[in-house]
Amino acid sequence: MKRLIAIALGCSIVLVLLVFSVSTAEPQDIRVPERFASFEMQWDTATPENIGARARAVVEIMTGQDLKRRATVSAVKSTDGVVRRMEAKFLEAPRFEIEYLREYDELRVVDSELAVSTRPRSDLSRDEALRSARKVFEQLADRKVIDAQHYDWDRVDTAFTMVGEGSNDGKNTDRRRTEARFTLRRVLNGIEMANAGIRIVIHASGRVSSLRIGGVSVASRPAGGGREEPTGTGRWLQRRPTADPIARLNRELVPKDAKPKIAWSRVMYVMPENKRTAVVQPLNVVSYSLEFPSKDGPPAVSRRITVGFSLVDPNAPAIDLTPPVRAPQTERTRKQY
Amino acid sequence: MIKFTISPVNTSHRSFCRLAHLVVAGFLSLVITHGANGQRTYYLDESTDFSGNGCENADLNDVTSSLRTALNSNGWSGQRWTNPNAWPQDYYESTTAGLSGVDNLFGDNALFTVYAGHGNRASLQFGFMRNSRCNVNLETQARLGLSGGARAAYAMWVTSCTLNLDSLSRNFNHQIRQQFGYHNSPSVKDDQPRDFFNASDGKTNARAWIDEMEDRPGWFTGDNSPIVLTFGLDSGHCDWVRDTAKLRGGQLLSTPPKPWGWFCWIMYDHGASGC
Repeated sequence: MKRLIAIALGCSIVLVLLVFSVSTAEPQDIRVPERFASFEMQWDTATPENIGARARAVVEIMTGQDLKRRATVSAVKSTDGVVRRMEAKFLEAPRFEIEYLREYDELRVVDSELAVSTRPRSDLSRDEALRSARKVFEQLADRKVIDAQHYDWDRVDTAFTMVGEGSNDGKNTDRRRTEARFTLRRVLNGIEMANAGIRIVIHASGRVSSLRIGGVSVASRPAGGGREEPTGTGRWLQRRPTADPIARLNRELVPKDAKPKIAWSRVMYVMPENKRTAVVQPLNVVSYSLEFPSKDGPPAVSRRITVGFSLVDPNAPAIDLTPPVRAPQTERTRKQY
Repeated sequence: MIKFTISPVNTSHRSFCRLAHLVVAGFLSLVITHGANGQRTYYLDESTDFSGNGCENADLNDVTSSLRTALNSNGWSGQRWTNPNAWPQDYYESTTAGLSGVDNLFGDNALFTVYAGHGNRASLQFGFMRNSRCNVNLETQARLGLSGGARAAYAMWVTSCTLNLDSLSRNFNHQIRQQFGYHNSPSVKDDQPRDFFNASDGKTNARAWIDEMEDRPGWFTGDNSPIVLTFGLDSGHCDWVRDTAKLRGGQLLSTPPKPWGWFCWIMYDHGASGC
């Protein structure tokens, strides 16, 4: 009898551990207000003058030095001749790679010398790097490149650039962090946006090695206390009781035999990928992959899937937030050998 | 096959012939190697349909057709096969008994080889079952840059977890210059592989891959942990390959000196979600 009880206890512990290990999602954001707004959003495209001015401010902050000459802004050659990106160059600062992504109103600046400096003399301290990133953030706000009120440092994401090496016999292996990568997403009345933000990258030397700024623009006006009010066709909405997004995912979207692996789940504004302008309301967003058993190998893991559930219509179907751009192109001939 | 015959005349003549043999053989091997490797060739396999074909998983978006267009526009040539024409056997080593591999004709028969679909640590999942197989175990079933084919120098895996750091050594059984993949389950938009190739004109492959793949374009959610695994003769050579090779820029478009003695990797680490 005691043995049976011990086995049953053991099984229940294993079951609890299994359930716990499957539910690896980050906790759902609980700061979502009962009332929130939909906003008109659009992807703007900057003029070459504006790109040059933004790039100048960013490079001056990264170097700590004033640049005397203007940037040269030109189209980046792509293989199909379509101009999707612009590049800016400063004669006085040739080591900076500056790209502007026209589709996403996004500026990327990289210090190419630091980017290849993968054997820093000192270890990277996350706290020191964070302090450096906050200084850069303040300088960007002072230069009006960003609006400091649009970001919340309590929600900063931290990632790292890692390098490693070793010999083919498995000896002499080494791995180290060379950069800390801090990402802040734009916040609208306490709710994050997936498609606008800033990433500040601090090299182990303490210098800024890259910056990424930009994203979708929001039609809003200040409403006091750091809040924003929608303009145009945006409007205020009332949150309605909705089912837990993970429960809905399991019930509606996970195929039989598959196991969901949740990467993250939070309430966010997400711009529809197939539109340049849209009225966007926040959604309960879940980013996950599926693990399927396999007959001739280990389980296979799908690429990432991201879906959104309405906060105002409990019966609305899930929205695919990462739809294909085009139908798959397949060949008509049969492969032979 | 070229045969050299040495007639038994005298010792000095034999030595001269032996020396000439070595010089000519060395020269020929150099010419043949560079002639074959200097070509900008690609092989693309892609699975987008994973429903009801014996290899179940989520259906996918097409991420290699725009890459193929970009490669063709840039003077590369090769093959792209999808769904029922993309086979696990394309990556099975053709000289290994029992696998029915045809990597000598497909996956290991071009300088730049790509698979887009699903995967796991050191493995690829194809969408259509063929000969009762859906998967490629890259550790035990594939030998890129070796034996049959032996033309691959760069491999791109647009799949989940294939280059997961915790099992990276399972991707060491190849003799190629670089592998591009993910430490986690990535979100990949249709044209990102194309954008990577385009960026490898001015940037090195390593920087182009991690910069283009860190996020889904237009998103700031840091969904991907892109990683580049490079091989070299020793530590310095590995760093040099990583900081030199450019697919579109035409740098190091050749098979590597073998065998490799050192690996080096670089990654933007946003976690190992899904793996």
